[in-house]
Amino acid sequence: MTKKITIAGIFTTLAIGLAFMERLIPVSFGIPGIKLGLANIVTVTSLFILGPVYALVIQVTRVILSTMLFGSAASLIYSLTGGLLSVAVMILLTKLKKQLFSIVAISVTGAVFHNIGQILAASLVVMNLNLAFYLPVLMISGVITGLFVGLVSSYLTKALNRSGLAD
Amino acid sequence: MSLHIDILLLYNLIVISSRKTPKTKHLVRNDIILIAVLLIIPIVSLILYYSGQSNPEKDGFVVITVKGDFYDKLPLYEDTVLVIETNLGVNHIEIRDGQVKMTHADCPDQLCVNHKAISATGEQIVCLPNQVVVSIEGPEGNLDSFSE
Repeated sequence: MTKKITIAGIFTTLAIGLAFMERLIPVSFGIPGIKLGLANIVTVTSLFILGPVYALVIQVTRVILSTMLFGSAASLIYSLTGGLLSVAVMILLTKLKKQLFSIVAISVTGAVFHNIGQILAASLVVMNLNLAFYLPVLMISGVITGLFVGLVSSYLTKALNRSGLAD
Repeated sequence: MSLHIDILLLYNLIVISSRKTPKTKHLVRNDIILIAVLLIIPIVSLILYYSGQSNPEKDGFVVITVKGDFYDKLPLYEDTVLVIETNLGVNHIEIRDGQVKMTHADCPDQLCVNHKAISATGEQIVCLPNQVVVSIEGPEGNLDSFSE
């Protein structure tokens, strides 16, 4: 228990570090919302190493902390909606029949739903459903970044399991 | 005796090496189906969207809404500069050569200012902090099937 909480703390710190690193990489495709989502590596890995409850707590904590540190108060609504929807869908997928999907696919779905959640929150804020115009582009970018994040998490989870840290 | 040890050693080597190379693959068949579905949905909707799209260069309109309410409607073919001032903030919009660009905004993130110029029906520039949505509509005044 104590060990798990300690790992959860390290993971949260790692996520904030990754969020900061991502800000140093200037990526702009002319469309807001497309980004690497490096911090999602932590969310996906924690889901498989520590379980759904820890993953949820880490996700909420890291979204609130990194928004307070690097974002604005207004962006908290979008980040939190996206983050919660993403982790909820990923937890649901792991609860399905055993080993139906691997880490990579779960990460991809999580990334796509992260973007869907953000669009949903943004649509509600500006009261304009036409924001769905962005959705296809953001879904494709979610699949690509989700693949990358999923592969990293897959390697990381295997390494952590072998090291015995997760027991 | 020595042969026996060698065989034992060889056996151990095989066991250890097989343990070290993970047998589980990163992607299973279900994964590929799921990822394909997640890719096909947006690609098909993009194709449907762009195939049903007329080039509004000469007859389109620029529609601006603030907080979800109608603010202004301007023809796309007339070069103008519009200043939107609300209690949420100030945004400057420039219409030139059938393209719309957000030239200035007093919002903190500046995502709208960095957004590329828009020119096709249904395209939008959104300034979330100031709740300003700039979108391009076709001559009929309504957006196409995608948004319905």
